[in-house]
Amino acid sequence: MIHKIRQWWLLGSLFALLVSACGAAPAQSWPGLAASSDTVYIAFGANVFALNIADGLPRWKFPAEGSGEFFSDPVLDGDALYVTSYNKSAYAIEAKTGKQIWEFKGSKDRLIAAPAISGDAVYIASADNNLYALSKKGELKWTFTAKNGLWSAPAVTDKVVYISSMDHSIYAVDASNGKTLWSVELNGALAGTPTLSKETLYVGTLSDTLYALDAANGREKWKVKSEGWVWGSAVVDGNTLYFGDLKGSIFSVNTSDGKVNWKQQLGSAVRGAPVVVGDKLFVTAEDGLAFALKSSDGSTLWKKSIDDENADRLLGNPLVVNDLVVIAPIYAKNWLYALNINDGTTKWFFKP
Amino acid sequence: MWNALILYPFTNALLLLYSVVGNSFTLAIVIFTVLIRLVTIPLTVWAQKNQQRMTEMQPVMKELQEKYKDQPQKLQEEMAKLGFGPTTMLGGCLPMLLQFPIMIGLYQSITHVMAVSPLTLIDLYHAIYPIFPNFDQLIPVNNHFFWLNLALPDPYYVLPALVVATTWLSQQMVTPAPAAGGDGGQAAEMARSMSLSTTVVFGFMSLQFASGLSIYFVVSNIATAIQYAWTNEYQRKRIIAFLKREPLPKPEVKKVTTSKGSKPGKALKAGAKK
Repeated sequence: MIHKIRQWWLLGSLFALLVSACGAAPAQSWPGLAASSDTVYIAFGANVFALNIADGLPRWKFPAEGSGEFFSDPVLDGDALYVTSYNKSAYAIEAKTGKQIWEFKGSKDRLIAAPAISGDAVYIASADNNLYALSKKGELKWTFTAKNGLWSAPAVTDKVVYISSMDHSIYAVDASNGKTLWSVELNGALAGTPTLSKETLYVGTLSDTLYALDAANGREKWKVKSEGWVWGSAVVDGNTLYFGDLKGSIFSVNTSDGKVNWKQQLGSAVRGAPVVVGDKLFVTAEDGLAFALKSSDGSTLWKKSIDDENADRLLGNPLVVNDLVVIAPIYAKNWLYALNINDGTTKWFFKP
Repeated sequence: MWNALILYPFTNALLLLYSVVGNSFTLAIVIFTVLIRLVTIPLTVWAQKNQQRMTEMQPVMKELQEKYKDQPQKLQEEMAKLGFGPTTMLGGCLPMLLQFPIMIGLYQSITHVMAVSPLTLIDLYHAIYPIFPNFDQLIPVNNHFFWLNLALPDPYYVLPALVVATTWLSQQMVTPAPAAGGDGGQAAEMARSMSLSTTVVFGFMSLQFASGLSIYFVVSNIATAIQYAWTNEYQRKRIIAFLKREPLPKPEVKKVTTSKGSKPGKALKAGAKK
């Protein structure tokens, strides 16, 4: 009898344990990347790593002891690397050594967005609805509050900060005091960083639309209907705008009138922002494929499967530095892959 | 398979209810739970009857075990004649077994719909059926209800306390009336142990997981208690006595025996007709 009761207790405890394990997701987002001419920085999970661009060997990790929750793109500015964390803190780190310069603990919720830098200001957008403007010494200058969480870094100039919010609105905020200059409500939540180019703001919504707005007043210039959510930032090259959607399409659009030049289907969600280098467009897709496309017509120059054995989920922004395309999947065997820009062959990879 | 059968339908149903009830996710969870309970009523009623029958047959089983203690094959045959095959044995556990996939599916769909992290938001995008194009505009869902953030555990432990109280209540209702002419013996001991284990496990889970799941537990427990009170006279009398602060009633005696000369199968039929 006692044996049976023990069995039931054991089963119950085991079930609780299993469900606990299911609830604790190891990753909440994808890796963030930044680079200088000789270093690649990757922020993923517990640490930020600095790696040699030539061979992928690590130089330092942050924090050296203990762990954080890093998922957003770090931002390199001079000798400092700025990085945000899901543990609600933002950090300034010495780019050469990985030593902490300061920590900002003012946020009341996770910092999902990457930081943004302009002049002497560091902007930290938080899931607690607030945009924090800090000095480069980490001191709080002002706070702007939206109606819902801020999941993406703002686009910044010396005078205006443009921040998109999950409350379906984009805000233009005075960089000197945090006062709202204008705001526009769009057709869905905004999870991506707006792109500012020649007085026009380009921003995608989670209601299958990319908007071109007048940066002076938020007035709509034109919009393009996509096939899925537009989450990643758009990129402008001359008179052409490129962006991807979660249905797996990549669009080339004329910036003057919003007319679609071409559209290419990549087979799975395009979450990251494309990168344009010369006449090539580098894009990643969720099912683990990296693409080099011809920017004039979208035809495929090469494509590379990162890890055939794992469901790798390539969702972060790719990075092009020197002659490498750097990508960081979530569930692959390695954290980071450096591909040859010309043919997609793997030059080196990194696993901590 | 899991996504197609459980997770995606649950996620879309929750979003549909959320939009219908005026963007209240709490109300959506409550209605969804009640609907799930309604759909599973035939199964739970069947399991309930099965469980009660098994309890009533305890003395007969004891008698057979004693009679055929050295003939396990014969014991199995006689048990089968009484209708105690593997399906019957499983039937008693069915409500509990059914709860698990529903509970796990609901937990996952709540975290999907709440979409508090970028990965869960991407997963939500994949889960939304194309026939609901306007669901995009519901995002992000309002995950606040009084002091609660439905995506996080209750910081003031009110919901875990409610989960423990309602789980205990529903377990009391689910526990069948003791067998005739006995103290319940092993079965009663087992039922008490199960009841305690379930209460502890559910309480622990409500401390750890999204409070949206705790709301499901509370509503589901209350629905179970109402269902058993409605369909089971003995439990109904217990509640009335408890509310009137009277002594709890003794169960009705349904004497089932393997009388001399009669086959167990016949005895069962006779007992069942009473």
